[in-house]
Amino acid sequence: MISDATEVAARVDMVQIFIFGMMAFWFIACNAVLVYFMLRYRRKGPDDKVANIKGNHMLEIVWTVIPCILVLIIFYYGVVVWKDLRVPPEGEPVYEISVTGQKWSWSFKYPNGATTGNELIVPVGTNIKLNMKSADVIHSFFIPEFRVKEDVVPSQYTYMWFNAKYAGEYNIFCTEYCGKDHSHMLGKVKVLDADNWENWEKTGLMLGEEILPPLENGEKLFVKRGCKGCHSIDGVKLVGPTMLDAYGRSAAFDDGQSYTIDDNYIVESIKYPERHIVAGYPRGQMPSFDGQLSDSELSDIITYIKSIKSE
Amino acid sequence: MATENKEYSPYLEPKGFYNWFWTVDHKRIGLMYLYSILFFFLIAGLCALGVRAELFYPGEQIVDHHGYNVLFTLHGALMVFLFIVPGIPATLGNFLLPLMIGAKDVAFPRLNILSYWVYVLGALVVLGSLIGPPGSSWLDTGWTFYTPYSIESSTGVIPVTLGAFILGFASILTGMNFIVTIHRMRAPGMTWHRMPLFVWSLYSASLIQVLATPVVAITLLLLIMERLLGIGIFSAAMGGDPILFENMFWFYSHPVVYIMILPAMGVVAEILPVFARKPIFGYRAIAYSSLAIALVSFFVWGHHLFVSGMSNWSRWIFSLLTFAVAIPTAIKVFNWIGTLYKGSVSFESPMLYACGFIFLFTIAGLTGLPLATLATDVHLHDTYFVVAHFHYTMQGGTVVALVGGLHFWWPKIYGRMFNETVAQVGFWTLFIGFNATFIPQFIMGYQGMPRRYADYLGEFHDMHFLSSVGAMINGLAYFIIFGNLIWAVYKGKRASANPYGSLSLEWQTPSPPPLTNFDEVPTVTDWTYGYGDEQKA
Repeated sequence: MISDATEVAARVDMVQIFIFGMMAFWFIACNAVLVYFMLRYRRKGPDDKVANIKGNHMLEIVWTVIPCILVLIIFYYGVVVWKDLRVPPEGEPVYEISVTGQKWSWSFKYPNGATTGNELIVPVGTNIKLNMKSADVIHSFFIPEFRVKEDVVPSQYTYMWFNAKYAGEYNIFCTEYCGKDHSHMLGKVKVLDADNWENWEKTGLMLGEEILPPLENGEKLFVKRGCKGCHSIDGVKLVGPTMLDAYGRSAAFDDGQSYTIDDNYIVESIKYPERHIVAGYPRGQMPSFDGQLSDSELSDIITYIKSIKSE
Repeated sequence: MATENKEYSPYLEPKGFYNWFWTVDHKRIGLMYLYSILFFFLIAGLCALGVRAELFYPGEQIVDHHGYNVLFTLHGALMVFLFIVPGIPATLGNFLLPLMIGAKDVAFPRLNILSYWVYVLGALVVLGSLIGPPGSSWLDTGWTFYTPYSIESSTGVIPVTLGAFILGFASILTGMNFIVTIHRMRAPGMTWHRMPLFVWSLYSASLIQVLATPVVAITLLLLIMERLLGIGIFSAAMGGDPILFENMFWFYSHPVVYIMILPAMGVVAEILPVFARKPIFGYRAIAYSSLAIALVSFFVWGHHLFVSGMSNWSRWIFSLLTFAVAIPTAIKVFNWIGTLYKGSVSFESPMLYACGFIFLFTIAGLTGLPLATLATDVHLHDTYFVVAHFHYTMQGGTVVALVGGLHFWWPKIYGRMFNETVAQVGFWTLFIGFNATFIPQFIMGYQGMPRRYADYLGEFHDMHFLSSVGAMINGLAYFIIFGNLIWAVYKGKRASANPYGSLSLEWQTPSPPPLTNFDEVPTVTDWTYGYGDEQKA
């Protein structure tokens, strides 16, 4: 029950255990007395002697004051631990990563310019601060094992911080309802040990990981960046047009023009999706991925889209 | 019904649509409200069963993601706006308030029927959102309508919010009517401190209805204007602030929780002394704690925004204020339990519901503690832990009290008795099904399962499966319970004027009561809870 993933998470769980203990005590105390009275004073007959008790001032004072003191203790303990959960330790270096939430994927941008989708790559034992913003509706960034959560909103930056104790993988959930595929807006935190992190920061690869050929890398990006949530590869109409046989076909736009879908249109649609929308699809659905993908990644995605053919 | 007693004409006569629809009688209006809210309880309950059926297994089985989102939205919106807000006040409240204070009717009978018509209009407008294809026009925003999603969703946001806006007026009219009735219509001798506690709880809830509902009305109107005219209040794209919507929405929607629960507490306070044959313990403490809860309820909405990007100062201030609600709530629980002390307690079905309410409500209240605490709420926020917590207050609290109250006053309302054995079976089915549904939700919520998920990771399957099995039992219970009550209306044994031996005024008139409630205005000489007093016998 106690999370050991970060130092603060363990302290949050101590607060939780303290409160659970309090809850268990009062739950058992109240209901034990209730059930005892129910059994002890159950009706034996119409002539039962009944005490004419209307109340007791002393008792009222006691059971007002004691809960007051107890909730103040819980409140105080909660605020003290929450302050450390919320605010990164003062005077220590923090590694800052930008987070963007958009329907229905997460993207991360690192200080060295690298970007990832749905996978947050962080070094172990380092204070990580996430500066978060939404490209569309409200989302919420939740890492259960770290006991951290903060909404990701379009009108302002929000932040959270954590310091993972061990290398490993942890779930990321979106916890603010954001439309159709809210429940598939999932990600992973990958906490890397020092060697692996150094290598990833330099090359973008895990130790032992090979550079994927363009087609495979394109497919991987198509999934990880969340394209697949709205663009099917089997001809089914989702939020956006299917990618099946998309490349090379002539598409009518909603402004009356028509255009053959080529490399340039794909890049334009990824970076500036509002410029040309295929007729029959609503505007304002796709977020911009401008600045989130390198030229080489864009080219790999094009290679993949070209390959999605019905034959 | 006409065979028994020719000397008075019960309010249920004359029959016929015209006679009911144009009535200004508070008892008939209460019943029409009851039939209406139970209809929506059925629909919204079936939506909940649809949600739980889909969640038996991960992946898509019955509905796609949009279909799932529509189901939980309809469940929430219908339950909140059409069932549980009118809930106890508009049904039992309307029926009982004038009877309990010895009045012939509420202060403004015509405003009372207007409230019902406005409710029907609002309900029709909400249902209007279902015209059109489910895939693109059925509402999918959740009952909370968070912006900017509700601004850009292609579904029927406008009919539902407009409907909720209209329903707000029905709620305000009822609240205002009750406040004036309690101030002006009490029978001679019915002083404030002789009033039944149900009346005190209605009074407290009415204050919230009148003061908080206008805020949600403004909020929903602004949302409609945002969608129609793009005025840029809530839309970040136009420089608006979506968090402002959350603040305004919860400024109403947290106090509204107490519109739902306060009258439920009042019902329990009526049932306990009758079946314990003993005065209520701590009358004034219970009465004033209702008012205290109503007052404090206006200052705690920020706990819905603990992780929304609100300033760190606001977070801990709202945490402190939220804990303030715990005190009057705890006082009530202790006094209810104290009422049984040295009593002569019998366990007919209304009493089972009242004791069941106390048991379930202690869970509801205590699980609120880690949600009010900042350090722990960050983790629990928007998980199934919260879902379970508020269902313990809403279903375990309000619905259990409503059903218990219906069993208690059913003989008064229809002059007929239900089958006691079936009623007890119904209670235990509900009690077991309800706990089986929501205890697993506490566990998986603590493990990090987010709410409003159409699909989930395999690690949560066991708890989801258990919860879904529980939900089916929970659903079955209502068919037993209401089947029995409906049977009683037609086939039940005739009830005497006062089958439970209550001292409250509504039992001192025939069952069902005559149209004018009392033959002559009663004069009150003592408080309502004089059980065990020698002179009362």
